[in-house]
Amino acid sequence: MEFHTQQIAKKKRNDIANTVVSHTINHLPDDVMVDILCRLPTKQLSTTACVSKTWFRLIVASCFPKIATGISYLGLILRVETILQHPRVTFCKTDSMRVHRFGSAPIPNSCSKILPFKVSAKSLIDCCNGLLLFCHRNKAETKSLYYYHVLNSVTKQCVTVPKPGKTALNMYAALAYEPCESSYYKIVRFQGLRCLNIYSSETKKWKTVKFHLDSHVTEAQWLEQSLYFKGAIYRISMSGHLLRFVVDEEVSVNNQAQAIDLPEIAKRCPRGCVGLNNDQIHFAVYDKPDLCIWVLEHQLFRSNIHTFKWNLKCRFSCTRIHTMENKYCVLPMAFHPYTDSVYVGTSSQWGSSLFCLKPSSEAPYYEGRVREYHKAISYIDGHLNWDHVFAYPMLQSYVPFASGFAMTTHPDGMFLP
Amino acid sequence: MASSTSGSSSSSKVVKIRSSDNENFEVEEAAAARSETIKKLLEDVGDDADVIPLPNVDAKTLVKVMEWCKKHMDDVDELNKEEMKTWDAEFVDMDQSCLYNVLLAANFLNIKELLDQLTQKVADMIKGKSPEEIRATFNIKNDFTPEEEAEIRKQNAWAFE
Repeated sequence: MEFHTQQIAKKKRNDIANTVVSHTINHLPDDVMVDILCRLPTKQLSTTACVSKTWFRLIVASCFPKIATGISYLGLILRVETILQHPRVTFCKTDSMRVHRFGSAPIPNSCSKILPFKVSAKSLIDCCNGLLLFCHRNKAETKSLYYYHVLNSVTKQCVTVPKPGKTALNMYAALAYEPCESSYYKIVRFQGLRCLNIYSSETKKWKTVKFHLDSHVTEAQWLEQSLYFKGAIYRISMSGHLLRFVVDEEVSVNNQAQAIDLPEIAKRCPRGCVGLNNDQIHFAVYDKPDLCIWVLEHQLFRSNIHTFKWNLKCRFSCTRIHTMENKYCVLPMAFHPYTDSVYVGTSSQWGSSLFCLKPSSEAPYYEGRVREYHKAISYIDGHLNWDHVFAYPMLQSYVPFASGFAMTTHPDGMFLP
Repeated sequence: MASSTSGSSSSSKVVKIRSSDNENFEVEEAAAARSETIKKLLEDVGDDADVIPLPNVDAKTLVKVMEWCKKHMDDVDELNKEEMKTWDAEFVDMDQSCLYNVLLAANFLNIKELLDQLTQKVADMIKGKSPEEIRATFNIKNDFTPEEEAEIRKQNAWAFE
């Protein structure tokens, strides 16, 4: 009898085991599913996102950021604002070695085919990790509302976002997008000098956050060029500061924005430029006759207390580059995102040139010694006032961005699969 | 030659493992040690190990996994690589429920190479299929509302072209 019960007990256990064994793909843990899905071609991954909510969440929140390492650098977009003519956009295709001749601006041309309007230099307002941001007013509409258009020129995705509020004026905005961290982007609009309007493609909503900066900072001109890096947007203020706006979270009014002093030398120099190079924020100014480049060192004390320090990376004399002698205007424009190169716009009585300067391998840098850069190639574009030119490094992202579809079924949010 | 003989003689040590449905198996230590999980357990308990219980793996699956481990016990030389490839391809060719069981076991037992082969197998099953075909193949319920699905399709229109 006792033997019999044991047999039954064993049989029961087997039954339980047998019911457990009939697994389906839905029983696989998230990390295994992500591993499986990441083996699909990127294009199919996008279509596969509509299989089910679980698959959508895994693909958008985990797979896309995981495979978004293949971002390639295409070249510089130059937005030229002239007083007499309409502003224009030119594109300067480049590789790590040299700047090619300006072509017929392939980037705005290809965008025109995707965008619902004709691209003008005025409408292009930002470029961030493979996404382009345009702002355009539909003249056919009586209320003449402005719309934002976010575009990925590789995946040919284009999303239109209306501005917040009815009285939305045309104000400068920046893109916050890092595909390795998240498939979602943000549009950060500067509303006056106290507020940021932030649109999240994840929630599909605008929200407003307040910040406070001293009056001597807010009274100065802020350059309409920005940089997104690790949850914050950076902009140069002509008061001699690099402004840092936290956009990935809402913090206290005093911590939402911060004015970082630019290096002392920069205060007596013409406009400098800020850019990302190998995941570090760089800043360059022309301190005649030297070009100076700094790297921003970031330290975090406790929570929300960020301190910054500029470390001089190099200082070299442009007179050592014979083709750059006698230029009456030298202005650093942009940084190459991956190599050590820096782009410099110059003007002289013979015309304007764009230089791509790269560090010379023969002269290793050490403190106090000039680090030699050499000229790669120049471009003559008549007379150009480089003060009115903004350069945006153009990257190509082969991974699609995610937009819309806010999922309410997952309380932990999209980023915690 | 001599070294390989001595190698196999030392690895002929046997370990006992127990499946979730209480079946005991005796496996060569070198085969069982393909699993990082078992290897770690063996290191922890040393020679005192009696039976290693594997509460997450049933007997049928364990037989499959150990079959793979035995085959992959020794390093493969160049000549056998092709043969091994064919064997691996045949090994992963199993019905779906069995496939997931072995996959889950490989994940739990932490056998990287096997896990890699199995995830690739599932990926190959998905490759080239439309969302509808994927749902049908894997028996997945479409839990989107028609509006939601239409919106996602619209956003990813570029990929559907």
